[in-house]
Amino acid sequence: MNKKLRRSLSLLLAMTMVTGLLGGCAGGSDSVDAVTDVKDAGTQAAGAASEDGTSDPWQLAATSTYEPYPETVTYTIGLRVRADVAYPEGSTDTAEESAYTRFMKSKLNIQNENAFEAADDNDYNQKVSMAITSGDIPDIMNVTYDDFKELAENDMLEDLTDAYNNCASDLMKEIYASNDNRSLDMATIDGKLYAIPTTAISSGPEMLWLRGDWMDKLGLEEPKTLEDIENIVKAFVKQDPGENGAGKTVGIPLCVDGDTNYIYGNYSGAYKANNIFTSFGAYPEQWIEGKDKTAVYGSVQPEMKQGLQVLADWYKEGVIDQQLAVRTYDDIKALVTDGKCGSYFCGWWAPYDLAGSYELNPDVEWRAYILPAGSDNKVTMWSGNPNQNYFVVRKGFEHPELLVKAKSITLDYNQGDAAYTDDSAECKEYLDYVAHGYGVEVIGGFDWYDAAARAYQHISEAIDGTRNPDEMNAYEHSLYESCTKYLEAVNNKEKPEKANWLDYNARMVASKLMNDTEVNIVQPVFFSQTDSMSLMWESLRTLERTTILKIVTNEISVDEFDTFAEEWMNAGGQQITEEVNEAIN
Amino acid sequence: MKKRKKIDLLTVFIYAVVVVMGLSCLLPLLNTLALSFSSSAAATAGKVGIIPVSFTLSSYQKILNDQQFWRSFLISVLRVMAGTSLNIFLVITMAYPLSKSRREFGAQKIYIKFVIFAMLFNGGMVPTYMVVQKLGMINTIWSLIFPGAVGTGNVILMMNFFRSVPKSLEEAAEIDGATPFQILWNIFIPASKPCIATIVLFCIVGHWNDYFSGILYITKVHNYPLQTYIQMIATTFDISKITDIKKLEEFLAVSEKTLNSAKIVVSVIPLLLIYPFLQKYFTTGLVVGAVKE
Repeated sequence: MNKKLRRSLSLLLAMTMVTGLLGGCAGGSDSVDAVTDVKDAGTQAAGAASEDGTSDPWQLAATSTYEPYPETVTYTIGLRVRADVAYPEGSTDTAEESAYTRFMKSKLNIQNENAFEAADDNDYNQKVSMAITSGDIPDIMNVTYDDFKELAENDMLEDLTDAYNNCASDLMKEIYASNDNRSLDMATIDGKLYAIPTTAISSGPEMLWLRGDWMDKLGLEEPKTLEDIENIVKAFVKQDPGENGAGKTVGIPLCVDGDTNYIYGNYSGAYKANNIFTSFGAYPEQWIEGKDKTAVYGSVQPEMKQGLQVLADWYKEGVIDQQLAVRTYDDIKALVTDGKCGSYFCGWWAPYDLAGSYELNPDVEWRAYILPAGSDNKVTMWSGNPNQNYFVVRKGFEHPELLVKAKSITLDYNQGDAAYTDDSAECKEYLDYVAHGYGVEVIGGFDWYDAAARAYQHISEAIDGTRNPDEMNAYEHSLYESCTKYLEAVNNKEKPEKANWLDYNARMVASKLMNDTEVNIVQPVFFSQTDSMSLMWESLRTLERTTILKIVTNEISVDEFDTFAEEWMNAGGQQITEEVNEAIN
Repeated sequence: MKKRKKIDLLTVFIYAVVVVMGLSCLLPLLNTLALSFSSSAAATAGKVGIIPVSFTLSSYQKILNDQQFWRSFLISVLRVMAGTSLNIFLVITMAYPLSKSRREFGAQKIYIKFVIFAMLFNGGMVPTYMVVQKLGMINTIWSLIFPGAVGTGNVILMMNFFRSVPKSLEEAAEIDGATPFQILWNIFIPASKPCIATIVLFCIVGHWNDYFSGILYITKVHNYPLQTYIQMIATTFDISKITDIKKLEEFLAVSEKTLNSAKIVVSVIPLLLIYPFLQKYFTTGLVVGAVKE
């Protein structure tokens, strides 16, 4: 009897242990009740106090930038996380309990609870769609423009106009002003602000990156015209300065890998030829204002033909990679890294992608040129979408200003200089996380439209001694230190560290070029989707991309472009163009 | 007189196909292994084949410090232990009565039809998700274990194996006064070791390699099982959507081939360790189960 009892007891104990162990992973579910309690308490307190005047701390918190809430406000959020998320050694932090959340709690007394997390953009957007469909959205989400519009049309979003006017810091307003408030305009519907958009920084003009050590070896002059480019690349391919063996050096690579990479589009992306087209006044894959002030699709305009003619000729001459149709993005990167390709188009950020090239060959020297210029001797670029994403607040959330307040604080510490004067433990830990890229910032900030050029100005001034190195934000400061290390190493005739080489080339060489070169900027007029696009865009894009690829690779002549443009219009392009014009008017 | 084995064209062809298929399985694995031990510059330059170039252990050093990797690793181990135990328990307790003849268990046929029906048709992803959600299992380890708790295919495998156990053994035990549970525990399970080992292996591999239920049911990254975590870092990052320098840094970190390869290699090790111990049962378990008396 006793024995039996003991056995069943130990079994019970074992079972409890297993459940306890597994339960450790569960979490979350019971805390929901606690959250509602806090919220209820909050609303009650706010309700009670609003009767006896404005001195009420809830009211104060709701109308000022920095005033913390009297009690912890818990909000739910759909969180985008970093795919490479990591935490300091030995820490048990999660996205719901980290330096970021502790910092926000100490500043504003707010705490996030994650309704869902996703790293991949597609994955995240899918979860947002699921939340919208089920009608149960978290208090705060970070959504695409299309989802933002859908949410706003279905009256699911809180109006943030008052929250922005009351609680946005001056710095936030200043940053939005750096792109003429285009970001806010896109988030405004019928005069009401429905989102705090995350700005996209200007990518700057696209550059032609050339191997300077090869140019010196062959005694080549700096390129200025299309012809110069052709001659330099021809010399690279034929004279083989990299000693790869005859026929092993490839010309300018153009990436047509997958859905998102193509010969053109996405200005300042890697391995494209956008500047060839803009120099003739063509803006492929962009909706731009045409001659009669209506929106037109750039890829089907007659200006395209001149750019295509250049590329087709270059392909015939071997100036363009002969295998462009079959190379993946990684293949091209391997060619560049391995010294088998010494010329490509990319934005100012190219050096960050050249780490391997420098590591394998420390003598490598990459030079950037902004060209070819159009008839007015200036290069023309088009600007990108002013926004990356839109932070929205669920309609009915009691503290919509929480989003604006948290964003303002984040901006103060990242884009502003609050970090230098705050020596609280939370702030130190927060900055440490930011510097190392630990964890996931919950609400996060955004950057100046001209962040890259500003960084160059600040760093170069500090190097010249005209600016105190502390008079720049923390991120710029770390770049400044990296660049000084590079210069020190060069002065001492040592090999600079890889990271310093990257920073110096991107921030001081390419960014300088970007900052000093005047370019024309064309503003596309439409960045969204129309109704018919979801049905027809896929086939129209396939038509466009296969035809253009055939033209570039000399399979069909450039004259076929007119037939293609007509076919594109008839296959639904006309209708979509009309819809785009309706949408922007 | 010795009979020389004739080598005809067909044999050569079959061998060629088998070798090519074998290599197509082996080479990617060797390439991943080589990448994980190479310097990242060599990997980016596409110089690594099946032998590491500029050998380094730095990727593995990085993994050692990666909290999330080990957290996910632990969750996967936990899931395999709990999930496989539950699978085996349910498979055996279900297959045993079904293996009885119709005289002993009247409704046996109906239940088998039920099992086969469930094998061929299911509710689909969304309804299954809704069931899991309504049961409150979202974001818990149970959501990874319960939806696939009864492997119907395994039940049929097990059932057939039980049927092949000689009837006389069972009768002898009955005469000695054994209860049905004792017969199952003392006669059938020991006699079915090869089959159970095979099913254990199936379940372990299935649980360990499954990443999709993690994507579906786990909403927080720190609760991800290992394969879901690896899927997250290994999916192609869309470089055209890079609109700020932070995104670029993330892209470069995630596209670090050597580190990702090292993570894949580490995630394969547990299975490589288990396989040799269970493999000897593998072929007998499958074949014997299919033979009837």
